[in-house]
Amino acid sequence: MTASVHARVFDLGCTVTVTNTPEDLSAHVELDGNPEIHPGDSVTVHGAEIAPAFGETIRVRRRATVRRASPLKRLWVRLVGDLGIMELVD
Amino acid sequence: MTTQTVPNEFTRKAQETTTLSPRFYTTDIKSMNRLSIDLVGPQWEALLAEFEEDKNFGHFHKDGDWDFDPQSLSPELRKEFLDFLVSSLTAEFSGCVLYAELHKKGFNPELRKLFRYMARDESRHAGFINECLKEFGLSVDMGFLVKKKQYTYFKPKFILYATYLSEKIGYARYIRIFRHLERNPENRFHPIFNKFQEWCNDEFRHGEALALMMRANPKLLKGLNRLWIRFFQLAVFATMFVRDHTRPHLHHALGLDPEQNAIEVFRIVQEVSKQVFPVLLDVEHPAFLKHMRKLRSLSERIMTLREQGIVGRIKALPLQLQVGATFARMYFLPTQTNALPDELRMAATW
Repeated sequence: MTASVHARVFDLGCTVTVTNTPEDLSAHVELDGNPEIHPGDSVTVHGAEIAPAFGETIRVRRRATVRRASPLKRLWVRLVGDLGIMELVD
Repeated sequence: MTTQTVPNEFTRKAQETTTLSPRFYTTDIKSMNRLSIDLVGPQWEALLAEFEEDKNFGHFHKDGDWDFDPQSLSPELRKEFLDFLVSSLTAEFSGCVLYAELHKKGFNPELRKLFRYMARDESRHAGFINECLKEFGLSVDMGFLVKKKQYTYFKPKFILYATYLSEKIGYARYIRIFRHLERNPENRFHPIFNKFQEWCNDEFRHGEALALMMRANPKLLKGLNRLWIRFFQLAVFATMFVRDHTRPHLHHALGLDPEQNAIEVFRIVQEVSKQVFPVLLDVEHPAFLKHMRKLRSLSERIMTLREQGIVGRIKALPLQLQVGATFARMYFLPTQTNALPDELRMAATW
């Protein structure tokens, strides 16, 4: 069942692509319909771990659950999120 | 004896995995998309053509000259070198996640193109580091994918200031190491350093794109934003200064003094940043280095205390206040005003 993207909690399909090769190490989750994800929302991809061996790329269809943050949490994450930006530095 | 401990250590490593824990970001996509690049049209096109040309395609591989024995490193050096590789991998990976997200959610076609190229480069660098970790028997665990991921938030302008500085400081650090090892090849203990020149040219190019975006939207460089620019410069410099000092064996093996190296890196970044920032920290101010040393010593004491559990954490609180106060003192040191040049691009000539 796919509920409306306006619901507080909803499931939807997604495509997960994980690449573990010398050319490319990346992991991308594309949610069907590309709904906007707001600060503090969480996304859980269901199912077993996706662990391509070295040299492999895995592309699978999975179900995912999006949990919308409460308005208060959204505000909080907006306010404090910026403090974590230094993680991008190294 | 070393002959016994090294293989044991190596065997232990062979069973290890390192768990990637990148963060997931959102931003205000609408205001990101409102950024215009109209003011820098010709420079933007030329830069995108460079990305398109992709000179470094196929470069990041173990090639014919690759000659490395993981057992040749002392345990201390191995530990710090692996820590360096893993934290670089995480930074490249997080950069890739962020740029891919900006590509996916954007609707300004010019920006989308740019972010796709930048994500490409970051994942390529991450792949190469991954290949190097393999030699140590270390594999990357991507279990985070099926865990709950919470999205944190950065303002678009903060993404620009922080990623610009992060790319340019990345350039300066790697080119310094590369040039130093050209002069001192006996210190090149791992072949990855041979790749640093092309690697940091990618970082430099990313920084150029971010500089053009800021120059094309001059209000990001005016008024109160000048205060944010100062803040980010200081935060990026302090992070590097403190973190590099936690890897003494790595610096010793390279033949670099962490403090002197950091100052030289800051100088390069300041020189490059003249292309975009209207205000620059004065890294030559005598109090600047003094306060950096203070930050470093406070941070070392905090780390030691934190290893002692909850009591240590409480004891560390006053030191953390001192970190804040030292940071504030550095923030309010005199700065230099910089008149932005007509020429927007900077050449990677270090």
